[in-house]
Amino acid sequence: MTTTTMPSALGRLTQRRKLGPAFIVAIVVVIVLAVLPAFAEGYALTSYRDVLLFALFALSLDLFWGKTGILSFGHATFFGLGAYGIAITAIHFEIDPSIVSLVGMLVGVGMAAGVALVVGYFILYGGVRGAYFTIVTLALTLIANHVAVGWPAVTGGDSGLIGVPPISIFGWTLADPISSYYLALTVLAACLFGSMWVMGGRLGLILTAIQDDEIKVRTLGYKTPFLLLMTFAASASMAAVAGGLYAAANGFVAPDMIALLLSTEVIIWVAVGGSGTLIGAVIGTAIVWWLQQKISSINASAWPIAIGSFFILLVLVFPKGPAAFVIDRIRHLRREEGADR
Amino acid sequence: MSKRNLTRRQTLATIGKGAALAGAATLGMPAIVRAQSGPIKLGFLSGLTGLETILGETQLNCFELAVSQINAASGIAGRQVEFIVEDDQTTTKGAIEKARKLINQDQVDATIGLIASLTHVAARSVTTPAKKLLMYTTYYEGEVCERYFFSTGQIPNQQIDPSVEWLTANEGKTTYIIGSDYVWPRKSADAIRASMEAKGGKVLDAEFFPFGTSDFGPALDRVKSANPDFVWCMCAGNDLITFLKQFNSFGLGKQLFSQGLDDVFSQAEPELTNGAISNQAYFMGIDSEANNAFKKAYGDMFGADKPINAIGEAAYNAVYLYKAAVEKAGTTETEAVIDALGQVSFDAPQGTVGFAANNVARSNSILARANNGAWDVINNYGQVDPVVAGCSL
Repeated sequence: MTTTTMPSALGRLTQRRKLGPAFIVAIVVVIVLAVLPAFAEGYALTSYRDVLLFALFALSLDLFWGKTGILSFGHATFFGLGAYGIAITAIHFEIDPSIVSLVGMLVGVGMAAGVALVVGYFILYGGVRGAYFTIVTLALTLIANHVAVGWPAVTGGDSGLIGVPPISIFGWTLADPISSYYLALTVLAACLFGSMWVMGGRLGLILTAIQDDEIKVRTLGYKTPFLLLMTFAASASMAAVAGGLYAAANGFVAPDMIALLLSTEVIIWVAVGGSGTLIGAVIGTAIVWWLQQKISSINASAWPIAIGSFFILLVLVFPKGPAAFVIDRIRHLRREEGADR
Repeated sequence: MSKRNLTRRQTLATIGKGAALAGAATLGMPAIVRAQSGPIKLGFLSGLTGLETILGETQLNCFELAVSQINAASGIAGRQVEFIVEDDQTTTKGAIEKARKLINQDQVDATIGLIASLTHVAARSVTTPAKKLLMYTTYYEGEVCERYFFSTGQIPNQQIDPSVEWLTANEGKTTYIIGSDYVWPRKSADAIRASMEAKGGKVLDAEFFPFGTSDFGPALDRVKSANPDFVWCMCAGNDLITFLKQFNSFGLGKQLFSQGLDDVFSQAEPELTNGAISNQAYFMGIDSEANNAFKKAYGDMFGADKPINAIGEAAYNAVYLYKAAVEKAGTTETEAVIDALGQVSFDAPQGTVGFAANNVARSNSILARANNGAWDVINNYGQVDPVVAGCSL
């Protein structure tokens, strides 16, 4: 197992300077998204904007799950902290309107990073990996949801908080559908290319190596818990950015944004696009959203059944996502062909 | 190079013009044509799944009954009525997203429905800024004063105040409130406190629980030690059933009052609701020609054994009041319809209803006690004018 992965990691190192297929796909996707507003009117555009923000959220999960192989079932916690951060800051504190959204974003992202660092420190340095990490982070979402529902004086309880102001940067308010769409797209593109650049470098290789054999990497002198912790915190911060932008764009925050269902959905988005590719998370979110629109319009109750069945298939048949499953099949066939020759 | 740029710019401009033309084509002229001749579009938004499932179906049925009756009788001002049903799942997120969809994508002429108050708060945050008509059909905490918001259910001075008057005179001067944790129970508790104190009574304590609370045992222990004369419950939807089960098995021996109880609850759970007191604008037992015809039509369409409650009847009334207003205004244009809504009335199953100057319907106040699924009237206060402090629209 390890002998086969080492050359592939080295192989990727030499390929690094070439444009990978994922990078080309990412550029095409961003260009398509940039011209999309020419073909969509107000309401559709706000839906697309929400999809972009969910795609950013999915990207944040893929940054951790796809690159380290450790599944976080608690990512809605960070999305929710970002959303509640900006909502609580804007609604409960009297801050100058020109900077309130920036302060709110900082509060939300700060809380998410803080929680990720504290929780991540204990579990990652404590040697918790694999399924146990998933279970601990699952509990994290449940706790966060209980706090959001059970502290109505601050969070608005089950009703949440309505009246979150739109993002405003020093008096320049991004409230209308087009500007909020481009804000979402800009942040998504920046995070996407940023993540691809970082993960295409040394850190990405080390994380891949940790996925294969963490003890070997540690023996080579890398502080693996530290690297995992930093990736986790970066991923959490990105999720919080998505949550904060989502709350500001939609004007409210509610417990659905910090719930187990959202944690599950984001895993599905990433899985559909294929985890570990980064751009796959963005595409997966869009595909699932599109399918949801189509299936729900046929029958509202068909969607939960469809997505539930898909989740079971995902676990049993293609744990690395449908795209990876197909690619693996093709590779497998080619290898067989090669063996025949 | 510059030539190439120019062509590119021209291409973009052409695309832009095309898009603008397409936009104008869908939004401009035909919209006006559609608005005055095609079918009238109503949005029905309510909690069809989630906490309020028990109430949502009846409300939708009553809405559908009104629409089908209107369509069978040549529609509104000769135009047929179409409707789009959306489920808000009794969540803020659902109500906001679906209200946006109804007014932006479906471009409905009015939105009717909603149960839990958190959804009217959420839906209003969309409809009022967009200047679209929203008609709420559930009894609630009142205190809303917005031109684009109308309600056909009771507010505290129509529901809580008459109840407190009777309860303090007949059950005792102290009560203990247990409710779900959101705007309706919390604001209603304030109204109950004020009302109780005005009658020389006292609210000993008020406790609020998140949706889906499964254990009221500790709270009932505290109620027991506080020893109130009667218990006031404002748990919502399915949580009310959970509370009733535990209240009954706890054996507190106290009178229960809940203005959330109606025929839907009493027929679903006749034993649990037995003896409880409620106050509604409508009970199925109202003996009038209009109500008998309403119950028969409802039974023919959905089955004779299906209960009807005040929320459903108010939804039925809302559709007819909207019809009357559109016919009076001669248009579906929101501002004109709103001006007309204040001047129309409807011979509803509960009696003749119409809106007061604060956009709340004048409605009945009937205090009744559950008796094996039905409701025995204790006191009928008749029709009460709604009072919203400082509100005249």
